[in-house]
Amino acid sequence: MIRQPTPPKTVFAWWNSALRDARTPRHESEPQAGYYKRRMVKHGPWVPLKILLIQITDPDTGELTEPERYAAEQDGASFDPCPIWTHCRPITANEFHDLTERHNSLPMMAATHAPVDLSTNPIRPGA
Amino acid sequence: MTEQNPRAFIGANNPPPFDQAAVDALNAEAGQFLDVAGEWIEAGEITDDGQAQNLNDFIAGVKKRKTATDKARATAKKPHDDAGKLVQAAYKPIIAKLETVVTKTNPILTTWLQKKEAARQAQIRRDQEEARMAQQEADRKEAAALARNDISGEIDAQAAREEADKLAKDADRASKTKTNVASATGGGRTASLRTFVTAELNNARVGFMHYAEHPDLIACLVSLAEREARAKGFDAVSDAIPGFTLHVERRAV
Repeated sequence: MIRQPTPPKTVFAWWNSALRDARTPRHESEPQAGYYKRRMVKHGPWVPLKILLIQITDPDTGELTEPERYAAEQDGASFDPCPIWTHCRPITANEFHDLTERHNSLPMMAATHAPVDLSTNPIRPGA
Repeated sequence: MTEQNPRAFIGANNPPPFDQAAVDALNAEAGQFLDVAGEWIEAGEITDDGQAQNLNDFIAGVKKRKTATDKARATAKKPHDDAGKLVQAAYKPIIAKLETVVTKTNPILTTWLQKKEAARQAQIRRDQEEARMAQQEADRKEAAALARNDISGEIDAQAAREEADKLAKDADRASKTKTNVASATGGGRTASLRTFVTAELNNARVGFMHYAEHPDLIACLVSLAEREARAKGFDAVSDAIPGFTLHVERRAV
């Protein structure tokens, strides 16, 4: 069956709604595209991740050549978002970029599998 | 054998914080008085002045023993108190400084949260107004379509109505969320505005009437009356405190 790719407005509808209202209902097996953050361990640093809707289309017709699928991208790795997506908190694109930058500038955020100890290094206003 | 034993350091053998032999001696001395106290209690009532004088001396002896024991306790405790004071003096200034940092920086965060909350409330009002206008417009369109038997217009108006209802629902849902500031790193807790209530007394008489039956207020009044009754110049037999009955009791001291 030939299908047109889902338009971006529909793809990001849930994420946009969840940004406005954190109590937007979510379903375990239905990941939604957008920018997110999550923790790998309890009290661990926030880790930015994206959930993308992969759409492979025919360049001539613009129609889908295979079924659409969701993929999570975190720290350069791509994986199935279903097992982790309910633990992801939607964030704005700006917050996503800030968080990515913070991971590069703050050494305490490098260890994603260890709790953050804020009592060792003070966070400066520009951090 | 040049290596140090890591388990051997001052205090590693965990000595007791007091002299057990001194405590045992004081306990034995107190025990004698406790034994004799049993005899006095067993004897019950005093029948002559000589017995009364003996009991008076016994009680005086118990008091002196108690004072001596308390003095020994204070002497044994003093090094610990001194050490405790040194520990307090070493740590407290750091804690006080850090507390001051929180006291001075928290208002900055509070100001930001209040600003964010005000903007959120304004946005909610705008969204609710927009939803209300959309609902009115949908109602108007539907009524107009019904009046001219316009089926297409009716269906369009119903769709507009559904959209307006969705806007109203979204605005209502958004009004229930809370303003907060999340942790930048993930290591801190989410900060939000919390309501703190403080009371200022502006009519003592009315306030007093309101809490007239409260046990805490009654205890406070009793304390004030007892303080006044014990004060110099107050005669508990002839003077009176309005609202109180003063009980005068005489005890041996």
